[in-house]
Amino acid sequence: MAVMLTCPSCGNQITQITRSPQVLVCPACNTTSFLQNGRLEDVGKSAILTDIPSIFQINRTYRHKDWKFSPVGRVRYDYGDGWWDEWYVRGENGKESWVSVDEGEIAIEVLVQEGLNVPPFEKLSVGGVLMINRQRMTIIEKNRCTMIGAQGELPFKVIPNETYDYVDLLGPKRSSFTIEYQAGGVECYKGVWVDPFEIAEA
Amino acid sequence: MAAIMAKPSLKTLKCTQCGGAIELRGGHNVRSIVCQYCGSCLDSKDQFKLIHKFLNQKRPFMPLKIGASGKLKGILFTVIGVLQYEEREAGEFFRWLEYLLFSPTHGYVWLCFEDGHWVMMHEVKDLPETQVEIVSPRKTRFKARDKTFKVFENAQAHISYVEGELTWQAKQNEKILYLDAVCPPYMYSIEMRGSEQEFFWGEYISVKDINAGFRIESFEPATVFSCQPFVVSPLFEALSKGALIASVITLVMYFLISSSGTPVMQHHFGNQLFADGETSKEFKVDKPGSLYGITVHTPNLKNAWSFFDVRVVDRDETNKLFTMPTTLSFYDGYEDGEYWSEGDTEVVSYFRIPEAGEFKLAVDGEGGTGEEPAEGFSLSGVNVSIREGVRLGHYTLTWFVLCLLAAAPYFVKYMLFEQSRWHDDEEDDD
Repeated sequence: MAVMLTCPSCGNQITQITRSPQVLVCPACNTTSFLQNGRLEDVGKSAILTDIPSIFQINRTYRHKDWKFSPVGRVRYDYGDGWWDEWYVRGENGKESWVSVDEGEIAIEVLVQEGLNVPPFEKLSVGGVLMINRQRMTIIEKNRCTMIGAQGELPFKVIPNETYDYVDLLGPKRSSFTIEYQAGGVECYKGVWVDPFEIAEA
Repeated sequence: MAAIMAKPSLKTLKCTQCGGAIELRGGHNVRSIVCQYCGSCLDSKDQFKLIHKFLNQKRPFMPLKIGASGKLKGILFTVIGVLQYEEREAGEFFRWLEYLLFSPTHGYVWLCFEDGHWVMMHEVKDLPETQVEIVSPRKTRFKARDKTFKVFENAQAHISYVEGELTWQAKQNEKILYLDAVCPPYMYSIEMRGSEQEFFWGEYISVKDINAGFRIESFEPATVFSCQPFVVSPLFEALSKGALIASVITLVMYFLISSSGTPVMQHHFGNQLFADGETSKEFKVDKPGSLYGITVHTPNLKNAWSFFDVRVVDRDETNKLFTMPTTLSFYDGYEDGEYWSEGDTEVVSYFRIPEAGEFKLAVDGEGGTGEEPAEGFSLSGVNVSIREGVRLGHYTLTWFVLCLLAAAPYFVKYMLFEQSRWHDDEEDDD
């Protein structure tokens, strides 16, 4: 059953979609709120996202081959030369994943739960190879990003202008792997690069 | 309720070298802009500083202009840049245009224009699933995205014209090595630019779709393109393929149904046949109304003709049921050192007997080498055999031929189309 929450800033009614979001961005006033004890607490304004047409829209349903999913939130990161959106999506089975979109470059990824030993950020370079789960993965990007905006429901606390280092890797059969070097520790995401022309609205 | 969002705006600037107006329509992955007025290549990531100049550029004919917007595969794209490539092969120049298109939702695609044909291509991360190299020979097969591709060509080309926005910094006369493989309407390309190798997925776009998408009037090309699909009306295709399947079924039915029967009587006639006539031994008809086959074989007939009046008579030779006049002729020889022959020494006829019983064959014969029968003509031996339970299946065979004829136009057209696609290769094979 959908849970209704009230925006502490403007009083707008927000429908909670995912099971345990930590952050909601009010679609009416753009206020970022933390969800604590079933109540929203105002922690300030989220950056305004530029209204550039996107392949996804919040709360619509899309299909990639047999997988159906609905974006419920997104975070935008700036990486100097440009920016990309990380869409927080909910699959038909309720499972949540991340879909990163950078001008037609799309990767679907999930958080890797098991602890992986990865080299420190400084020791990695573009073109280098890492063996991850016995798969040969090539580093295709190494960069630092800044969170510049958010929208909808998110599973973690977003802090505007927070920065972290990351590397993107490409493996066989379009497999993708991302290592994020955040202040709280290293997070790894694994998934697959997909062709935007294979995504359709369901 | 929609989130609060700022509106994007079209960026315009003046060329830092000539002051010409430049409009920026691409996304943040654009790396350089080439001014259409002075050929200056400006760095879009460093305050539009001059990187270098493209000298002596001659603008080619362009059916689409930079800034044009249109829909491809239902997605709105804007033309942001254009390149002309040039390739020299056996003293001939081949040129084609590659338009860089941008969509905020789907990123960057290339729309290639050559000889009036259009192919939409975009970079993919799908590497070939089976072994192929950029220098693999023509018609090498490999798999990519679960489809089997055949190498169409691999060559080296260079950039001969650049204008607008690009996702890298192109250089004057920059060379690329490429491999194009086809699985119509799809194309898979491998491109090598310096040390960087990229993979592209393409699809043939019909002139009709281009004209509708970009609201232009591009003409139908007269040639067949490498990844152009063979397109006919679906009804014609369905009927032709159906006719081919039907022809295979009727051919199988013909072999299942037809039978040469089982022998019931064999008789060897001697020279008496040509004098007073001769009667065969008896043969039994168990299945009245069924089809019988009679074979008259004259092994010694050579450069002559013979006529046989074959009559089916009852056992007492008193009643004649019917007559089967049979003529045979066989001629052969050598002409200019080559052997020739015409006619046959064997003929088969068919008959039905409406009642069961025992019957004989009464045969009279004559023959000669000229137009008139020759006195005393004889052949040392005429063999006659009768088989029962013959099933001809002629109707089935007729249907087979008719179905094959109905299917033929489609498949002939298809073969000619494929021949045009691979024309150069066929010449090489020759």
